[in-house]
Amino acid sequence: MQVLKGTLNMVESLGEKAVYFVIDKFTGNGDALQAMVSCLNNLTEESKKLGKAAQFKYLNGYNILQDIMMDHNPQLVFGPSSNKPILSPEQEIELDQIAAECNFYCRFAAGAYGDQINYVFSGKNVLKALDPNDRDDEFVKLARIDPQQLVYSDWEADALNPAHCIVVLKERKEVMLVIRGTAQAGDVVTDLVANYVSYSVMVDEKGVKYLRINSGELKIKEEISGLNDSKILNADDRNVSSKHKELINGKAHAGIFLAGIELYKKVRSKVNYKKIIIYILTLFF
Amino acid sequence: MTSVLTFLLLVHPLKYFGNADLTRRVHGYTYGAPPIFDKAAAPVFEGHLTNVVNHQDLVPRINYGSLKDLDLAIVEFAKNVKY
Repeated sequence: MQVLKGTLNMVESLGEKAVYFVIDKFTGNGDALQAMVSCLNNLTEESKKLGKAAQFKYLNGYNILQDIMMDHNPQLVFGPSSNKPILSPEQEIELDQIAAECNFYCRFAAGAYGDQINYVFSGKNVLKALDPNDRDDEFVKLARIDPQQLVYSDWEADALNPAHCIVVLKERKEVMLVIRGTAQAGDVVTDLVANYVSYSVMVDEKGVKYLRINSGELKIKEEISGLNDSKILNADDRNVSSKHKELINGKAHAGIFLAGIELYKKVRSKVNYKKIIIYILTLFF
Repeated sequence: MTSVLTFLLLVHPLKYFGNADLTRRVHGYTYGAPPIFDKAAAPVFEGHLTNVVNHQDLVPRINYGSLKDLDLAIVEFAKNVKY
């Protein structure tokens, strides 16, 4: 009961702030960023006061609460996770193939974290994670590739430039853009640097898809305008007679979207291969 | 991030590659990626994106609907807990 009580206290606080944060964003109140930063600061300060045993209890209790949230609440918006679809034998085989693919590629995603991923999960030599050796060497070792197959890397992340690298696997005729997930403070900021933008995917007379910006911040508009010479239109362009789908309308993680655009612009000139595979591993440490 | 890049590659004319058919060969694999698109975007990604979610990982589930669920769960849970 103590575990659940502590968990409830913590999650109630976090949940309330998180919900208000989202609502705040939806309603366009400019205090959302400050509220989130304040929330993170409070959590950081509170966690410093806890011992490892208490942290473990909280995490364990939080997991229990997630189970309750997913499986035992009849009012769930998306329904309980126990509502698993029934798969046919063919679908089972397809699922196994997908799992094998994901298993193969995950070592690249994990490798993007370097040795720190081992330190964190093993609980040993954690301080070494703060002073990494050659990041390229660490990636090559963890991804189990030849050094020549790593053709480009940039491990210094900031808000609009996530750590990433490019790997070429000639025998598979694949080029991979590997993007590291959250590992540094700058990665967290990525999610907080932009507001939302509303898009449409347009289809022209030849069936070519392109983006149309419906609304959004001017900065984002300018960033996207740099992507293409002529296919991106302004919101007030009414001379387009194409069907469209509404995309990204007030959803979270808009900053990630903006950073993705930045990265796209950066790497597109470096990539000219027949197949591109892109990865991401998102972990919150 | 991978979702975004895959999306951009799919909806882009991709004249950089000289052949729009190459768009079909783009595939994104994401591991625990947070949700950033809505349901209407799903058809664009069909056959081009694989997202791995580890059991009940919080990050890929943290969207407005799941936060509302969490809010409801906390309220429901609090009714049955005596301090």
